[in-house]
Amino acid sequence: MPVTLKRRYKRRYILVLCNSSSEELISITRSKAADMFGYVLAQKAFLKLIDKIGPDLHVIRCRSEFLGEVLCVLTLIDNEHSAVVLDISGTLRSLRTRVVIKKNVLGTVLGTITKS
Amino acid sequence: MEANVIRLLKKKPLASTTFPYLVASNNYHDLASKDLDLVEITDIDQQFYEMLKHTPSKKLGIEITVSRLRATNGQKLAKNIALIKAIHSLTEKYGNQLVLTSGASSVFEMVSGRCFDALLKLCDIKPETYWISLNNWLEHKISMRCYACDA
Repeated sequence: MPVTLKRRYKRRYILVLCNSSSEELISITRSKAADMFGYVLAQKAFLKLIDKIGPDLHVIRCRSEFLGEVLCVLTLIDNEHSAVVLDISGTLRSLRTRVVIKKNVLGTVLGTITKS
Repeated sequence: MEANVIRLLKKKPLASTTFPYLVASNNYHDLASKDLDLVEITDIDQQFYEMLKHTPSKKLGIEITVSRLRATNGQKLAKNIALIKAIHSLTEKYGNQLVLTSGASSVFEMVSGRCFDALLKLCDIKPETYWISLNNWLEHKISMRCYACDA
């Protein structure tokens, strides 16, 4: 019998621009996901807050299988806490390298993001 | 940069312009208007369907904004998603074009391309075919007009 490796599920790291706090963003995302797709999918998506870069940039992790649903949820968060998806990556390292470029562009656009 | 911007005007200008534009309205009772290019849907009912069916095909754009979808929750959101699906099939049938826009009034309300694709997939619309048909529609609308020379 062929031996197969027990593989871990694939993850996607999403860079989100949002002016709410990280905790608020993740709780709103979870409740909106449950509202749109049900509690089972919201749980299966394994949404987790990974990092916060500056006051407005947040990194969220989810299962790649449910990336489409998570993107829909982030797009349809109410206008009060609205979130913009800036980048998606398979690894945190490549996302962090790209964040540096995006931060500079955003800094000129918004004029609010502080350099850390 | 300016050449890539398409302006939305409420009325068709009397003289030819130097910039590309679309005549837009947020009142779907204007569907029969000859000059109209784009109509934004705010609320949908049976009357809209009837009006769209009886409007002669003139490649009209039917705009739905994500900011309006954001304002809805649960059952109403599901209804709106079903509605986009219905409008898409209706526009395909009658030679019009569905235009999904962000409706953003600030940077925080903008929607990325990847998210648009995810939303389109949620509405059972193939993103590739949607973007191609939107591009063709825009090119058709813009190239149909006469523009004044800058110099």
